[in-house]
Formats: sequence, C-alpha cells, structure tokens
Amino acid sequence: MSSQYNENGILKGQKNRINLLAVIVTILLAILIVRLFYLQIVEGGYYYKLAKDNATRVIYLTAPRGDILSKSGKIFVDNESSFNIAVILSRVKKKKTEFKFLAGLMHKNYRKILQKVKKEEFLPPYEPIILIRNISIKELSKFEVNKLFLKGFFIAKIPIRHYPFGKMGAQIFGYVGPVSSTELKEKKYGYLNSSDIIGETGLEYYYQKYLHGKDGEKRIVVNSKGEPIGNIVVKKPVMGANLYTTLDFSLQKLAYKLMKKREGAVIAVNPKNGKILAMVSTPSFNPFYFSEGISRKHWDSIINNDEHPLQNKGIQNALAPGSTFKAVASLAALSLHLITPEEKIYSGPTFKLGNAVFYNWNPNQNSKVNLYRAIAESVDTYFYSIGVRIGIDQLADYAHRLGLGEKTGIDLPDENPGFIPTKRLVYKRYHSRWYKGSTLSAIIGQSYDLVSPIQLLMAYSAIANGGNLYRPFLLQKIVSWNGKILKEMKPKFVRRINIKQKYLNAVKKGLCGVVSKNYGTAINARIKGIKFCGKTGTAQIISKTYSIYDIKYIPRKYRDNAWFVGFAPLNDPKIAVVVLDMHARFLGANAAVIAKKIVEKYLEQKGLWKPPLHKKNEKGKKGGKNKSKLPSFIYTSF
Amino acid sequence: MKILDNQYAKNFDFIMFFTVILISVIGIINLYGSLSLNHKDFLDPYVIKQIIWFVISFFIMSVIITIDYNTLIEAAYYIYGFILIFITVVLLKGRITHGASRWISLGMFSFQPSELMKIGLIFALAKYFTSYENKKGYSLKGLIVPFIVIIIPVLLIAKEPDLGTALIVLFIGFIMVFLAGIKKSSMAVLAGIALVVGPLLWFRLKPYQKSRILIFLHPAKDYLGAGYNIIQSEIAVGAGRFFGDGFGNGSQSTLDFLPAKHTDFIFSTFMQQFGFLGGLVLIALYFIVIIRGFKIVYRAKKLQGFLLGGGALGIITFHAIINMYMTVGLLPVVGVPLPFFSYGGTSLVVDMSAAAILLNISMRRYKFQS
Repeated sequence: MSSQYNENGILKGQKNRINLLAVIVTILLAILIVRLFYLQIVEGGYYYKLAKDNATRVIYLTAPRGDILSKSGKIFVDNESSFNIAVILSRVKKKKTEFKFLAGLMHKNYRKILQKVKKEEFLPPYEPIILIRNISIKELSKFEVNKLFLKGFFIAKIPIRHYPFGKMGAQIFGYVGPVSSTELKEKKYGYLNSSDIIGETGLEYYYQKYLHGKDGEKRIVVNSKGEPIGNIVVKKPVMGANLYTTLDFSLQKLAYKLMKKREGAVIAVNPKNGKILAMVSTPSFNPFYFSEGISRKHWDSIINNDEHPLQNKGIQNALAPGSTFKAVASLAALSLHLITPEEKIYSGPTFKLGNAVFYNWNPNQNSKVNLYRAIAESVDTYFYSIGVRIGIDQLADYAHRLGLGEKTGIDLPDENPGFIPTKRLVYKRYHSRWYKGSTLSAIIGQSYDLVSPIQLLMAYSAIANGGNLYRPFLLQKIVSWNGKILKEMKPKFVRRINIKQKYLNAVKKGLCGVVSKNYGTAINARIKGIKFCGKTGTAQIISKTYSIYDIKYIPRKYRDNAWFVGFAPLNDPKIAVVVLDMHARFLGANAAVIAKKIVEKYLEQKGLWKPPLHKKNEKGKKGGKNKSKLPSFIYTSF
Repeated sequence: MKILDNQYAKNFDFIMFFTVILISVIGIINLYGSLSLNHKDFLDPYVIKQIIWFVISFFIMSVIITIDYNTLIEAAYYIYGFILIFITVVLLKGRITHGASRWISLGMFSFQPSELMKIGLIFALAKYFTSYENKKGYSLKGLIVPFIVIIIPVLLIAKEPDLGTALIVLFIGFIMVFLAGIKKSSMAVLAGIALVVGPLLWFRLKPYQKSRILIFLHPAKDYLGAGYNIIQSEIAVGAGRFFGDGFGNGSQSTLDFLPAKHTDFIFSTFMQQFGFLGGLVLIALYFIVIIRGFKIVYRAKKLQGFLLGGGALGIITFHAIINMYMTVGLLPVVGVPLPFFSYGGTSLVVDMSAAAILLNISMRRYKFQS
C-alpha cells in the first residue's frame, strides 16, 4: 500500500518512518498500561490506604484513668482537668511576633517555647502542640483576655492525675508518666497510643490494664490544609475502671501522719485474710510531678536522696529483722524440742563461744529465764544458748515455713524476696563458709538475715491467726465505669505453717508479755483493755561499737533500725502491724507506740475499743500542738 | 467553497472527530468530579470556563477544517512570525504567574501564547520542507534554516521560563525534521551534539527545575517539598485500584491533596475516580485518536499534508504521553496538559487545532482526484 502514493511527493522512507513512530507510540502506551497495572492492581491496596490516611486524621481520645479508692470509696488518686496552652501552627500567621507576645504574657522564656515547637516539628502542621502545661486560673484568664491577639492558640483541657493527699502512700499507688517509646513497643502495651500516660510503679503499674480504660478515636476527614471536612467518626473512650483497695482510709492517713517525719514503713493487715489496711513508706514524694514527665533536675533530686523516697520500704527493702526474729527462733526451738516454754535457762550479760564473746543488749542481765520472759525482755543470751544447739539450716527451715526469705506475692511490683541464710545459700551468695558464731547472730535476727517488713508482718499474722500463711493484697475489687465488677480479690491462703498449736500459743504468750509485762520491752504500747502482742527489734547497721549514750554522734545512716511487729487482740486478732523506723533518731524509738496508735484507731473504728476518758478530753481540746504525742525518748527495743 | 462536499464528507474522519469530542466531554465531567469538596458547585467557574473554552475551540476547529490546509500553509510564515512576536511581547511584559511570564491576561481568561507556537512551528517547517524538498534526506547544512526556525521560539519559551513547553517545541521540530528526512550521518552528529549539550544544560537550569528532575529519580527524598506532587499523584492513581473510588469520590482531588489537579494532574484525578478500568478506556480513546492520526498522515497525498499532519499528530501524542507518564512517575514533572482533557483554554485550543489540522488533511486527501 505504501508505494502507490510515491508519485504524490511522499517517499517510501517517509512512510516507513510513520510506521516506526506508530509502533513506538503503541509501545509507550503499553508501558503506561503496565505502569497503571502496577500502581492500581499490584500496589493498589497500599496506595488506597495511603489516600485514606492522607484524608483522615485519627485523634486518640485518651480515656480518663480509673480512680484509686479506699475500701469505703474515699479517693486516694483521681483525675482533674488541667488547662494547657496549645497551638496549631498552621493557623498562626506571624509566628515570631505571636510567640513572643505569648511568652511575654505568660512570663515564659520565648526561646524555650520555640524549642518546644521545634521538638514537635515532625508533627503535621494541623496537630496541636502543647506549649505551656498546667496553667493557673490567673494565667488562664490572662490568656482569655488576650485571645484576640493569639490566633491559632487555644486552651486544651487535659485530664491529669490528681492526688488529694499528695505524698501519702505515693509508693503504694505509684506514679504515672508519658508512655515511652520502648514501652510502646512492648506487646502487653499494644493498646496504648503515644499520647497516653502509663502507670510506672505501684498499683498504677500493677493494675495498669484496668485503670487505663479504652482510648477513643476521632476520625476526621481533612483536606490538604488540615481543615476538617465531612464526617467525624467517633469511637468513644471507655473510662478506666476504679480500683477499690483494701486500705482503710483513716488508718492510712494516720499511718502517714505518724511516719511523715521518719524514714521507714508501716503496714497494717488483717491477719486472718491478708487484706492490707494501711501501707505507707517514708519519706515520700509527690507523684504529681511525674505525670507530665518529670524534669531532669527534680528527678535527680529524688534519685540522689539517700532516704530513697521512691522505694516502697514495706516491700522493696529487705533488712535485718533484729529481735523480731526471736519469735521464729522460739518456734523452731520448741518444734525441735530443744526447749520447753517453762524451762528456765541461765542467761547472763555475755555468752562465750570459743574465743568469741556475744553480748546481751542489757548488760545487767543475770538470771535464769524461761521462754516467756526471754521473749518479753528480749534476752539475747537465752537465744544464744539455743543457737549453739540449733543448726542454721533448721532455723532457716522454720523461717521459710513462716514465709520469710520469699516473696509474699503482694499485688505490687518489684517485691524484694529477702534472704534467710542456709549453709548452701551463704556459700553460693557470699562464697563464705558457715561459722557456728554466725548462727548466734542469725538467731537474734542479725548477720545474714534479711527480711522485708511485709514478710515479717505476714509471718506474725500467721502466728496470730493460728498458723495460716496468707498472701497480702491491696486490691479489693475493680469496678468498671458502669458498675460492673471486673475483678474481685479473694483472700489467698498460701499454706499452713505446720507448727504445733501449743508452740504457737507459747510464743504468743511471750509476745503479749512484751507489751503487758513490766519487764517487757514495749510497755509504752499498752492498750487498756486489749491484749496487744508484738515484738520490738533493733537491727544493727554496723557492729556495736557505739555505746547507746553517744547515739547523736553516730552518723545518721549508721544508726540502728527500729522494728515493731505485733497484733491485737490476742484471742481474735483483727489487725497486725509492722513498723520499721529506720535509723531512728533515738534507739528503739517509738516503733511500738506508732503500732499502738494504729491498732487503737482500728479497734476504735471497729467498736472494739474505746479510748479512756481523759484521753478523749485531750482530743477535744485540739490545741493545735496535738501532733503525735510521742515521748521524745523512749527506750524500748532489744 | 463547499464544506460538505460529498467527497469531503466521505473522507472526513468521523471516528477521530467524535473521539476527540468524547474525550473533551469526559474531561469536563471529570473536572466537575475533581472539584474540592468544600466548594462543589454545579456552576463552578472551572467547569463553566472549560465549557466556554470548549465552545471556543470547537469554533476554531470548525474554522480550521473549513479552510484548505494548503491555503494555511501558504500563510505559514506569517502565522509563525505573528506568534513569535506574540511570545516576545509576553516575555517582555507578560503577567507573572508561578514565577514565569508565560501568561497573557484577556480579562476573565488568560492565555499562554507559547502553546500556540507549536502550531506556528509545524506550519513554518511544513512550508519550508515542501519548498526545499530533499528526497535524499537533509544534510546538516540544509537544516540550518529549520534549526533557526526551531531554536528561536525554543530559547524564547525557555527564557519565560517554561522548560517543558520549550522541550516539547524542540521535540516537535525534531519529529518534523525526522519525517522530512535527515541523512544518517547528520543524525549521528545531532545525537552527538545532544549528548554534549544535554549535561551542560543542567547547569543552566533553575533550582526548581533541577529539583524536579532529582525528585523524579528519588521522589521519597523530599516528601513534603518537591517530591510532594509526584507522590500525591501516584497515591491518587494507585488508590483508584481496579474499579475506582467512583465519580466525585477521588479524595486526593476533592480534598486538595493533589496539586494542579485541574491541569497537569487531571489524569490522576480521573484514575482515582474510575480506576484501572476507566484508565484503559481513556487510554483506548487516546489510542484511537493517535492511530487515526497516524492513518491520516500515512495516507496524506502531498508532502505538505504529510509533514503538517505529522507535526499536528506530534503535538497531540507528545502531550498525551508526556502528561500521562509524568502523572504515574515515569517522567519528571513538566507542565504539560493532557490533550482535550486538562482544564485550560490555550491547551484545548492548541490540541483541538492540531486535531482539526489532521481532520482537514484527511478530508482533503482526494482533493486533486475529484
């Protein structure tokens, strides 16, 4: 066909070129179709999602965190609204002038505000950036007045953790903080968004899943400028569940009041089921400062405080139990038939083992004593004479039966298991052979013995309740926003401690003597009409080279720890209390008195005890100086 | 002169004519579907203006079809010269838009004279090559005049600066030289020059022009900057998948994620709405127009018709392929409209004129026999 038109002035070659071009164009269009196939069919789903992501903005609506309440529903931790100044950058016309104006208005550093903006620069321009957190009402009104000059800025109301009682029980409730990128990657936190806060310690951490609730979602269709267009789909946030603790509100408050100025811990528990009635650890910290991300400086000051405010000393701290361990030693000696309760053993001021001399706390001790008196008066030499006859592994066996040296399983994170020495364990841990003399130290709760207050408390509870070891717990129930009970904690019986009832009774009798007998070491803890039984203890930090009289010259951190652990009433124990008063200003100071006040308060509430009349009058006065009326120098322990 | 002479009517390429009209109508419908969600209005100025332009170009098309193309070629140098002066005027005092003085304002409408240059050029070259026919192929020496004819508007347009149009004018010129015939040795020399000059040109580019080319190579590098256009365009195309999101549901265009959605990236908005299936149909329509064009050029009886038709076809084909290639990321972003489809009067007029020239040639191919 091509050659016939040659005479019209068009060459065959030219026609061939047209054919060539037609082929090229066809190929080019075919390539285009292949490309379209790739984009739309092969990668279509991917691009479809990108287009949807382009046009929808997901705004996560943080679910209000559940409250933490006392047994009766008094609020320990809840939320309040905080007012924050936020900005949407794309709406700010003249950035420099407006930021400067805001900085001047709020008395903030202009450069610091700019830094904050810079830090969030990767955010799309329609996303609000929080510039100034938690402004006061005064600042809020200042902002509102000048709102006309601050286009693009607005007040963001954000729920923030609120602690009506500040530092009280901060380690127990724990603190919350912005979720970190590493936490976000963890599988168990799969439900979190980057804007969430998360429980970092304490109950906030342990019951995070319940407290958090379910975040909502707001899906907004926006155009390329980020202006919302079209429908908004909302998934409503589900409020976090409320956590009812076993804590008794007034007891908790009292415990903190008594301990506020000290370093240590107080725990009160129902000895018959393990419900914790009060738990404080001091000194404490204000968890509020953590919820928005704590400043470096503040964090350092907390971390470098050698009284460890963040530590829950009731469970995370294991130390020598001192003489409180004698109850355990007594049970072991009785069960192993090394002694009988009535058997009198000569106990002098010192006890010699080979070349070593072991001292009694009271240098005037020089008589034959039976078990009751030995416990009541905390006679060291009595126990030394048991110590030479008992093996350390046997002693450890009884300590373990009572739950010492193992985690109690309380519903709080990072419990310290403590340490109860056996020959094998000591070798493993300290690469040291066991010496007989060490048994004498161990039997009075020194040397290698390390227990946490909660362990000691549960051991004494087991003695008090007739031999049942319980797992202590703080959670009573978790109730969802609509009143559904999501979780209810039943007392968990761990085991029978497998010690004969008569031996338990003998030790209990001894423990009651500690308070009731005139020679007892805790006579100042007597409660009129109530059989309050317990044991004092003083645990040495360093070996006893200081005499008691030069206590004020001993550096604080080397001062002894004072203990008291006890329960009441004897026959039907309602409450058991442990008090750890670390580096007590005065030896053995007041631990028993603190326990007594707590027991009194509890029994009074229960209607089991009434304060004597004259005391009531004193209360009625409320002279203002009625702060814990503790004698400034009481010599109790050992 | 009888327009509807039986002979003319018989040889009039109705298929091409109606396909072009069809594409234009789909274009207007698509334009309506790609309007922003927050000001969707049936009387949208974009749609109204495009309909007016369509009417205008239809009129121009009719005029071009009516006048014998041979007559038009007689006036080729005047057409060329007139448009050249026009461009110079624009360059000197054109309105500044997008940092380029390529527009001339005509009240409600604005006009891009450089687009018209394409038409002027094909007339001028067609006339030149018919006047100085060389059956053995042109040597470099014989190409000096065509070279000047091509390079003056190219440089002027590049100066505006409108590199895309300048390059297309250059390509169209080259295609016509190719169709007229060029010696193989000359071709080799030209290729050699292109290889040397090409890289040198790089340093003459404006920063945004450079970045467009760089971004084409690595679009993800600058997501919100220069790479934004091409990424958003690919998202729009890909999101259409097989059946498309449906008319008016192209989120990339209705929510304004796609820049230049009415003009350069109109193809992407179409692809998101109508998907791969719609894309096949649209490409098939273009294929019909182009193949009919090839047939017309092939069948042209006179060298004038052959060359003029080749040039006109070149305009449509270059526009179509470069535009679609660019929107799917196969070419760097250059401001080239999709023929008959993109919003914009000038390009519609130019492409319609090119189609009219082809129809004109097809209609009159047996003129001398009758």
